[in-house]
Amino acid sequence: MTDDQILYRVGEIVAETVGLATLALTPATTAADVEGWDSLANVQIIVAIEKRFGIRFRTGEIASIKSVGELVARIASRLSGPRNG
Amino acid sequence: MSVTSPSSSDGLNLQATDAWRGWLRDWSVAAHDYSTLVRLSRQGEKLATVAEIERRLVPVRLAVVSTATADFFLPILKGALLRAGLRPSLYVAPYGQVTPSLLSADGPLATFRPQVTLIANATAHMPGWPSLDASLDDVQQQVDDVCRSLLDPCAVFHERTGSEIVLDNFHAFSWRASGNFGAKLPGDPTTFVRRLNLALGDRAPRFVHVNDVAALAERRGLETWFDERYWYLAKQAVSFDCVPDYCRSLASIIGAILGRSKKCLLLDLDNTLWGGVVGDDGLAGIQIGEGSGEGEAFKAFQTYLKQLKDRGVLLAVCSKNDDSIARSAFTDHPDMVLRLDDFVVFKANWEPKSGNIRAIAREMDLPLESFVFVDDNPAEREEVAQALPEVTIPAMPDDAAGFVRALDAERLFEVVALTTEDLQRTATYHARRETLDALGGATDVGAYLASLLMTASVRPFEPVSFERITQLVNKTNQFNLTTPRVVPAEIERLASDPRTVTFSVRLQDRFADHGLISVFFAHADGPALVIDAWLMSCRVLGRGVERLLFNHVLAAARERTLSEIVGEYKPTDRNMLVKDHYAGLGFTRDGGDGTSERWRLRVADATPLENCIDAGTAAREPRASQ
Repeated sequence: MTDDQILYRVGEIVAETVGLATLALTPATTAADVEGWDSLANVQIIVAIEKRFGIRFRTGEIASIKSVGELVARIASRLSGPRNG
Repeated sequence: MSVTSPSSSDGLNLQATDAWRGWLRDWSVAAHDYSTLVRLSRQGEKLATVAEIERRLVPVRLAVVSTATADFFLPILKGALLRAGLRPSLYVAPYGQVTPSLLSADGPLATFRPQVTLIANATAHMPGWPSLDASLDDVQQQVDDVCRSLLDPCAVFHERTGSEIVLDNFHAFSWRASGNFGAKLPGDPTTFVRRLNLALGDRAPRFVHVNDVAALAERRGLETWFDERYWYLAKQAVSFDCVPDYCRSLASIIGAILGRSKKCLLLDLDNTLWGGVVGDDGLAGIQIGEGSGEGEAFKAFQTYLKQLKDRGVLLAVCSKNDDSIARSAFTDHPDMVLRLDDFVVFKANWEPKSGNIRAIAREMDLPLESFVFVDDNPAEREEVAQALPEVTIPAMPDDAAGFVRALDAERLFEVVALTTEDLQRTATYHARRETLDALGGATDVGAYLASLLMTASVRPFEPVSFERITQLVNKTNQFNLTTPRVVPAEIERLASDPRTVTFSVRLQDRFADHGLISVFFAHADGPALVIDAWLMSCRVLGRGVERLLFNHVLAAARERTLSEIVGEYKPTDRNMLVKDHYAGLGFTRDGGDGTSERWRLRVADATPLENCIDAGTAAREPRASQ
């Protein structure tokens, strides 16, 4: 899966979580840029990403992700790399 | 059942109805993950604001107090409640403020006056763990202290507000520092949790309903139930994978408190109750009972169904079969667990099942929402789902060994109390059938009614009957003039209020003891007795019970020297049956609009009405209180 494909699916998940029909995300987007992406929605987004991509983040990571680009990179490394904790 | 053919021709309403039916199907069609359910809940909430949908849902004032984060499960709980036919208005107490919220007499929780209050407990926030070296006596003391710290505030709050309370019990953790030796160590956390849960179940009063989190967690496995990461990060007490299980359980308890549990289970026969097709394979060819693995699986399913029946769930057959062949399976096969008299209706023919289910619903006087349909054949399930979306249809697996689990997981038949009426329900329906048959043979209704040798006892509300009265009020839709919905505390309050007149009627005849079948309450307002509720079980329709009850109402009005009796009829899409109720008793229409009609009767003009029920030699008295 390419980063663009991951970005697209993350966009779908964020839109579904905050209750928007569509949402265009760029790697530079942060939670503050999207209405409704608060700390509650943030946990729900991470939960949906873990489920839909079949991956599992570390506890420390979940709180530290700052931008959509960073999120996509972490998903990509989980999907390609050897199994991480 | 006007829900299947909306009375309004308004296109918008039809559209809303279709959208709602679609939503009900979407919610149940698969085991959705957490995120999908959040989205569906949001959709459902929006649909439920349409007046056409809103009026079909039972409103419930629900308060949530929690020792952990409630925000993540609340959206799913709302959806699960909508699916169960309830429309919640919510109050959520501040995080962690359980005991102060419950004890504050004029705080926001008490002011909200919830009908149901959920106390969501996180095991990781246990009020107090024993030390590992605690003696058995110390641990018993600790169990006692924790029970009281949980239940005492519940009692205070219930006393003050009348709210029913749903209380989470506790799960163990998947780790155990003392290993297997913990089983012998009273202070071991797992051992302590087990002891505490047993004590909570034993000590919870009638108004506290335990949400058995321990059993839910066992079912999914402790490693799945609790995800440490989201506990540390967000104080989420149940893993996101298990939030749907948790909410389904809560919704089923809250639904049961409000009288929304399912009442009747419709069963297919071939490949559902036994393996094979009895019409093709013959009695000797079907798989049921010992001798084959598959036969044992079907036997286990029948045994589970019999347990449901024994605690008050009605069973009915709805099968494409030749009637006499289908019946012979129950009368002639030695390994059948269920027998013909376990079913209240037996429909085996070649008509579409949706039509048969409509007929069964009519015959039993139950709304389609009270039915669950179990069939191994996905095509049959689909036919019924499309025609009758009000009927609940569990997705059964293709292996009979999974049937019990699949049906049980839906939590459709939750009870919050077991009354004598529940335990005798199937017998009562059979008696009703016999009397219907007797009516078929009688030419004169009066002679027939007299032949039933009916006796009744008409009593004010008494503690021994509070639960049954609440249950009857909440589940009666047809013979119900005002369709109120109540919790037991309101019944208790009515019983003790000197301004009110309350009656409950028990009826028996030569065929059966029907139990408590009619409820009435009214209050004195100036010179008038104003009737707030008059309802009756449809099982005893046409017996003249309302005429007997009227005579008691009239006597009560005279005793209080009231000059007038005022009745109200609030039409719903279910209670057309009683639109002429007050006219039939001699009342005169006096105003009102489409949502409420007012009827009046001058006490001086009224005379007692004839009926065929002997209320002098009162029917079996209710058993002594407690």
